[in-house]
Parts: sequence; C-alpha cells; structure tokens
Amino acid sequence: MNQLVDTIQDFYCKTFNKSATSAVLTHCKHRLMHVIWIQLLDDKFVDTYANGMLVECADGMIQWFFPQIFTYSADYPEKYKMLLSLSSQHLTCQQDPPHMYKDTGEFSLPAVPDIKGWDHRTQYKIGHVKERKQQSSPHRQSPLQA
Amino acid sequence: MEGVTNASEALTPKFKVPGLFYRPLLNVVKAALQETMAENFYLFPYCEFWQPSPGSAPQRLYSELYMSDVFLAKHVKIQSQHQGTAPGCQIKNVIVAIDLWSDLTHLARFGNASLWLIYLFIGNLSKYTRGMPTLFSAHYLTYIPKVHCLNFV
Repeated sequence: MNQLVDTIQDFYCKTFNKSATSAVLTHCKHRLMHVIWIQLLDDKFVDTYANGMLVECADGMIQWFFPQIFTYSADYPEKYKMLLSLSSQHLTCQQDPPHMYKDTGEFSLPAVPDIKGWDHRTQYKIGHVKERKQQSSPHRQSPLQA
Repeated sequence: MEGVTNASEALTPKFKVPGLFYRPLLNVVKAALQETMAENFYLFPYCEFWQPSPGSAPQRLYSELYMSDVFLAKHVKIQSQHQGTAPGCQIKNVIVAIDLWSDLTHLARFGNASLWLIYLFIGNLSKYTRGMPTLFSAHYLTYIPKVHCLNFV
C-alpha cells in the first residue's frame, strides 16, 4: 500500500511552492473516496440497476436480477467523513439509480435516505462528532484524520 | 490550493493515487448469484406477523431486509416497470440487495499493518446466515490505498 501523504506533499510543494495544510489534505481524502466510488459505480452498473440482468444461478434457475443498494455501513469516524461530505441535495435522490454530478465530481448513492426516520443532518452534528472523536480508541482511528 | 479559483475542474492540477485494487461491482454480484450460497437467497419479500394469543391483533415483525417496507416497495416498483412480455414467461424480476460496508481492519496483533477495504453482503440472505464467519458470505470489493497522517517536516 502506498502512503499518500508523503508523495502528495511533494507534489503540492512542487506545484504551489508551499506545503499543504491539514484542511487541504482532508479535502483530498474526501475527493479520493468519491472518485473511488465513481470508479465502482460505472455505466454498466447503473444500466443494470435500472434495467436488470439475466443470470443463471447455481441451481439452474434464470431470473432477471436488479441489483439495488440498500445500506452503506461505516464505523463512526468514517461515517462522518463519508456522509457529511455529501451535500444534502444529493441525498434526496431516493429512487433514481446512482449517478455522478459532473460539475462537482461527487456521486449520489440512494441508500441512506431509504431508512425511515434517519436524518443525517441531525445525527452527526459537528459538536457531537468532536466529543465522540476524543473518546475513540487510538487503535481504531480511521486513516482519514480531519 | 486554498484561496485559488480555477476556471473549471479540468484545469486543476491532478494527483494520481496508485494502489487501488478493486473488482467491478457487477462482477461481484454475478459471482455471488452463481455460487451455491445463492440457494439460500430470499428473492421475494414478505411480511411476517406474530399473534401473541388467539383473538389478539397480529403484530408485524421486522427482522430481515426482505421483510422491510423499503424492499417491498422496490419489488413492487420493479414488477410494474418490467412486466414479462412473452405469454407463459417463467422468468421473474427479482431484487438482489447489496449491503455495503467499509472499514479499517488490523491484520495482526503486533505492528501497524492494516487494510482499508470496502466489502458487500447480499441482503437476500438471512442475517443469521450472514453472521456466520464459516460461511464466508462477505464479498470483497475494494482495497483502498492507505493514508497516513504524518507531519511533513
């Protein structure tokens, strides 16, 4: 596995003649997660999400299968990084297939809003996140540090 | 860079991050459908009720993903959108439910070796089946390049 920070600092210093702040590094890590998901949610998957695929199963039965994403689970620090980095307008997309917003390069994933009564904006307020971060064990720190 | 505005996303400096290992999502789902564990999939949603005593009102039970209102609503929507065309067609339209997880996992008790991965479970399996490690029902999707927060000196 490559260590991102050493080489990204080199790149940043070479490009801008100053070192990257922690805010810039955090932003880069958020973008990395989104770009990875854009790779995974390719056009083929989006088409199959909407139109299905014929698959013969191990028991010989053939069905039209529609892959649907229902949940995305992450432990506490990651959930904050993943979900709070998505703008709220993307999360209102509940029934449409996953798609990428070309202007911002972010993706929308219609998983979380399907859970009744779950409101991402009140569950993970900034103050609440800071308290929980102090309580978490150092061995369970997410690689993404704010 | 902070405080700098670029005319468009395409004009910003790009940094390549190597070391991403992934399998296409569709391939993972197809592989899951074609293995023998797929015989235990619940492809059609249903509602489960419990009647505490004869004469009392039955209570709805929520236990599995395929018993939830969300799954039922999506199933109904797909049936209405994709109706079978040929008369006597036996091929059914069913949902394969994807539950995604991402987590950092330590590889050994000593040292700092760890992996950050995204994996998925198929929601059509009972949670009791999915919870049994010996059945290997998790499917790995991605190994994300590791990020260390070291101070740059």
